[in-house]
Amino acid sequence: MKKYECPTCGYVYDPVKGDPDGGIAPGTAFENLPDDWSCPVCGAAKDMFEPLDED
Amino acid sequence: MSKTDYVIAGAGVAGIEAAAAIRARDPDGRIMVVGEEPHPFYARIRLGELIDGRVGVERLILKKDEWYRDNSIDLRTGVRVEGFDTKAAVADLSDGARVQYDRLLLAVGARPFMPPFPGSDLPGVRTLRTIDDALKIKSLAADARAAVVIGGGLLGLEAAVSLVNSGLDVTVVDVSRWLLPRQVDPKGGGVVQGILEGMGLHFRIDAKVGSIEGRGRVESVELAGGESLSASLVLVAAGIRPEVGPARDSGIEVDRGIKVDDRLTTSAHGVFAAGDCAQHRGRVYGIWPASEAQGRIAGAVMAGEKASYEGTIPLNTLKIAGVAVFSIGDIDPENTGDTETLQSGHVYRRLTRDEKGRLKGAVLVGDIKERRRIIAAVGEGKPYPEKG
Repeated sequence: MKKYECPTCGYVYDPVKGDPDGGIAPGTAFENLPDDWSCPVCGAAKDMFEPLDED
Repeated sequence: MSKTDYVIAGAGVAGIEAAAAIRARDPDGRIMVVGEEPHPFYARIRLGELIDGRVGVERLILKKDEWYRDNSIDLRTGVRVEGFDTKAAVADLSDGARVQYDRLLLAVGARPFMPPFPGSDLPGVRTLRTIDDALKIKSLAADARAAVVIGGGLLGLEAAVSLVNSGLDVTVVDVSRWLLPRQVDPKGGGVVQGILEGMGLHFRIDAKVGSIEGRGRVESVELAGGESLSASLVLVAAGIRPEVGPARDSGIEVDRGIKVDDRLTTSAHGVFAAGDCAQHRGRVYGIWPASEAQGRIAGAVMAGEKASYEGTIPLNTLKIAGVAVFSIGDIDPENTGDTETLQSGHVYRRLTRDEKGRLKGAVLVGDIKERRRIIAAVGEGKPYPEKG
């Protein structure tokens, strides 16, 4: 599962960890986050996030 | 007069990060946060979405009431610090209260800059900085057919897209020779412009505003070249100016912003500054990650920790109308050195190198997947892409 980065603040959504404070269970793929999920740090919308290229 | 340990002037990202950092180190200290806006800490970057109704105000609020309660943070909204006496360590609040503090953080942000155009005070001419600004623009847009946005930077373009989404005919005017002049080079700006023109936006680039005209309210923007653009809504997005007034009036050293050292300390004992109002090593950042880091470190220092702020790497990642744009370092917009550019439709890539072939800056538009490797190469001063 791919990680995604918030363009505004640099927060990285890691599907392994999920976003427990935001009610997102560990193991939730980015694609399966609800559409109204937003960056837990700066509030940026889900559709702002960009996939991280793993290297 | 009431007494408190920490007064934080400003409830934006710098102020709230500082409050959280203090609380993490000082479980019992009394923390008061004073915010001028009626709304608690929110996602300022999403104001454009408020204009076209993609989100409501509730969605932008980043911390619920419980957070302030659980962390024993005394949040006062709709109140500003009018002034303070650094010798007596007393702050005067706009609601008439006087507060004795032990440590004071100035995280008061910035105000939109309104260039002195004739007619800039006409009704219908607005700036965008706060939730209330966005709601006012939204209600004006409901009755408007055409709008002019003055300023082709990030905020101006985001607002212009929101106004197009709201069904208006929108023209963006900018005095620069290309869009996003702070983030990209002329060619990259051209690619962004092409994408936005495809959405129906109009542009007047390299164009000066002569005046804003109207009888009783705005009717048109007159360009110095003679063209007249009719508009019943004009949004001026010409940058921000750090809020330095109260600091200057109380004798604290200011330049463009409130001057701070690596410990985010101002020239006055017990007074700190962070975020858009602060100037660190000559630089006023005006970007979220810098405000967040400064607030966090200021809070740690205020709570007695030996922390220091070394600056934030000047890089931008942004998204306008779904198009990702990334830039870092020296992008050499005038093509004075070794540059490599590649354009294919709406995807653009530019790398700039020094005389030894080391990467010193980059612009990516449309496809920004390689940004991490570029950040590493610029940070380490390495050639990129690595050979072999």
